[in-house]
Amino acid sequence: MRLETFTAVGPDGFTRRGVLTHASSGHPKAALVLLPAGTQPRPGPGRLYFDLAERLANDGITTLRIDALGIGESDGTLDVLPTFELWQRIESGAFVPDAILAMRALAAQLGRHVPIYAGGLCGGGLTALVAAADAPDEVAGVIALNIAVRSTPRPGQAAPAVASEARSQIGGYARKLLSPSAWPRALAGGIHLRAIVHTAAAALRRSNRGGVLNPTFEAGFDRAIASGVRQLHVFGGTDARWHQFHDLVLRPKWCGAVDGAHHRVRIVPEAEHHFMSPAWRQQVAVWIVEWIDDQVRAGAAVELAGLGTSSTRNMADGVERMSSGSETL
Amino acid sequence: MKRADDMTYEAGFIRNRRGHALFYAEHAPANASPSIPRCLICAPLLEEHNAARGVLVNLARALAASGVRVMRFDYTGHGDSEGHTSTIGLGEWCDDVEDVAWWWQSRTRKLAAASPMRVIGCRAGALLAAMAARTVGADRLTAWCPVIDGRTYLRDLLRLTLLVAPPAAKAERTTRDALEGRLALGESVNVFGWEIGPSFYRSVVTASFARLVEQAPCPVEIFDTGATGRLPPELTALERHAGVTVHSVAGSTFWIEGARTDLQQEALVGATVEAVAADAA
Repeated sequence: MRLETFTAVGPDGFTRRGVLTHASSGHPKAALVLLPAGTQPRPGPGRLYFDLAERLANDGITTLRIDALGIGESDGTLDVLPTFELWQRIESGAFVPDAILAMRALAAQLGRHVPIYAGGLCGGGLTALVAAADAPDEVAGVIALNIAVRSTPRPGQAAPAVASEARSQIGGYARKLLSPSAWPRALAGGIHLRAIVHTAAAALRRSNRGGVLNPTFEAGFDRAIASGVRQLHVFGGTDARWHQFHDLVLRPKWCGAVDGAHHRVRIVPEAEHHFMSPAWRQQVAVWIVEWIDDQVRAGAAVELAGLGTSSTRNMADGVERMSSGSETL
Repeated sequence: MKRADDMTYEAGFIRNRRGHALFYAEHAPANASPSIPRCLICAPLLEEHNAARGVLVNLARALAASGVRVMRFDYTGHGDSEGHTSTIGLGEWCDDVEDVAWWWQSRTRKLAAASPMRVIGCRAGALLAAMAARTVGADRLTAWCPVIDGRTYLRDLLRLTLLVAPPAAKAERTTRDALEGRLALGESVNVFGWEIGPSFYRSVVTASFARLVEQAPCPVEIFDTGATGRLPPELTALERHAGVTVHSVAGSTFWIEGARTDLQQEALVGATVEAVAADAA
């Protein structure tokens, strides 16, 4: 594995620092910029990002893991704040300028012929999506893992579960209530019946009254779609963010389709938020490689059709032009 | 935010004795003189390594700003370094401390003989710092919130693992005893994304910070943020040894992501910078 330190100096004069894991072949077919998961430094929670980068390198993909300003090795330090406030700042796009800076610096290093994807876990996925929406010419697509579509609430003000999340929880509650040991505990106050009742009500609701999208996510998502930005979304099936994405994005905006012209959604059924198990991480890496390969092939197909672009981002435009070209002929 | 024009930062990779690339970062005052003191920082292990990283970077910057040359690095299987944790334990990570220290000393050969080196270890890094102190020629050993008893530390790791386990794993009703049993039988256990195996288990379960302090070749200074609200008696008891001092300092359990994020840990960093400056004076 070839590792290399990476720096990008912003217009503010401060340095953002990262590490490149180069494609083993030496000639990357694509590159991926992994953006901070919350306030985590660049190896990622449980070294998720390092593990993914190592696996992707074997399949010809160079990965840049970057620390945003104030995190890890980069200049500056975070303000001393309640953690939820820092997360809210990230969910409002605080790291987007650093993401775009990193993508541009990486493109300058690798050359414009290498398609660059932006990605990350949770808030990192959101940063990637908004950065792609802001700079669609800089990115070939977005790879989001358990993307955060709702804002982090203040402690003690948790938003109600969306319907599908509530339905997944009801099964667990039902099993507990059927257990002989459950009722003495319930009577002694050891089980929160009120919470169970609320969850049941949410599960039965047809509409997601409690489900409000983070405005930064929604605006970024809509702009990314309008710009033709390709998206791969991977979720852990037990993560609340999968249910939130399913109810608030996949169903209303993509009609429930996990495969579309501009998107692909995949779920690792037993995985949680951080994809802790090596097997889950391997599955995530396989799907990333497959999707990037599909994008690269589609971009090559457009080029062969003589439409003059190798950018996979322009695939949709290329298909439309091909159609109009054949009609003209 | 102030730009650190008066400090230098250099980062890269070196090979350890097993051929793994280890990430290092050196912080130093600009135009540093050969006789300035040096500090080698040994970070915590596993997920604590991630959470504490920002605090240790701030410590290194504060020390460099006060005129100290500082070396930080990532152990095998941690941070930006190659390797995986499933087959190694404290012995291999102690080797990493030695490899980095010797490499650092050899590249600053004309400085090495002149300037003292303090080794600063945080949490389980304090165990590693104490294990390596003699072979790396430490003049001082500083421990930040040290792991006192290896088995207690291991049990705490396993408890956290069970707390964050996905529903399917929770349904199995695994216990800490069962996880520890698997480790004792030579199996691996996943702790928040980190695979730990029998090498880790065997080396950690018998680790004792007190025993290491008793054998320390140099004075030992312990700073504890009193995560339990007061200094652990096992730490205050260490003051009976000559050359050991224990300080209670305001701070938080910064090695775990919590409700409040404080990467500055002003009191703890300040006390350490003062201690290093006092030595140099």
